[in-house]
Amino acid sequence: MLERLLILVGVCALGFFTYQGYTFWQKRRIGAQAATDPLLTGVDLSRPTIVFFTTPECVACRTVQVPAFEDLQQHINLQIIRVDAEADPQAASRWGVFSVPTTFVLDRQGHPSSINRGVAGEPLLRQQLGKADPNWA
Amino acid sequence: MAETSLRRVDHTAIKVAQAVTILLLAFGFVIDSAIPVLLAAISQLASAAALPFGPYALLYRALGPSGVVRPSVHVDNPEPHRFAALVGGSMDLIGGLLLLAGSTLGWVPVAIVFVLANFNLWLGFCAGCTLYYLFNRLGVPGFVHAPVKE
Repeated sequence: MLERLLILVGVCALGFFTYQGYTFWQKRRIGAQAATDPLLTGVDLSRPTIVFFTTPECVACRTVQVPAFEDLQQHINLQIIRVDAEADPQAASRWGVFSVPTTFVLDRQGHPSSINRGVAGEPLLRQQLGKADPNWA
Repeated sequence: MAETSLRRVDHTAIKVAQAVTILLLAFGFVIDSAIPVLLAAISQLASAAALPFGPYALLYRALGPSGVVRPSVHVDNPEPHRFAALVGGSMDLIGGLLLLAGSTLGWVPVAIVFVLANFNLWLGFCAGCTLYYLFNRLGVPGFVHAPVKE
């Protein structure tokens, strides 16, 4: 039984660290292309910025994620770059999006400071904006 | 529009079912027993059939008054989620029966369900739902509900 428990823990740990490693690599890759990415053209990155991938069919996007943005916008001068992943699959591919909602909290250089796959609530987003820049939260 | 407003799904109930499925499958593996796997299979198949007294439905109702979970009801199609439960439950049933017959190959379908349930719980990616909507787009009979659009 102990052996099986160790195998289970090992598999879960492998999955966790693989995911963390992929997220780290993805942040670096997106950060390297930030200067030339069409989504960020003309965007004022001195403001707190979140890139938000959604689709018209995404229920959680409009019923949970968007209200979380609206809660944040009452306190923070937040700008949301909303991308329809179905209408712009190239952008989804460039940003490594495979499910929606996916949100990228950007720092002042346009590099993703945090990536959320699935719904991210207001408290988490506020914390991540603070991590991207202490003046933003 | 009026029809879509009647189609509601409690996403918290789905998350609870996934979490319990993951725990049952993990427990079954650790103690090397098919019983938790078969219990998960029966529960998933009951969810697929939308039985009001299925194990997961009863558990969710029991958790509700305690305040441990909060309903998250949204306009959505229940059929893709039920299809996902059907696929997962069927794979667990096959795996459980193989294990009962003494074949360790039974852990293969169980492992697949374990991984996909974790994808759904942590990353919000429902493989069964994706498959359902793919079949809908391809016009496969029985998969009649297209995604609910805004």
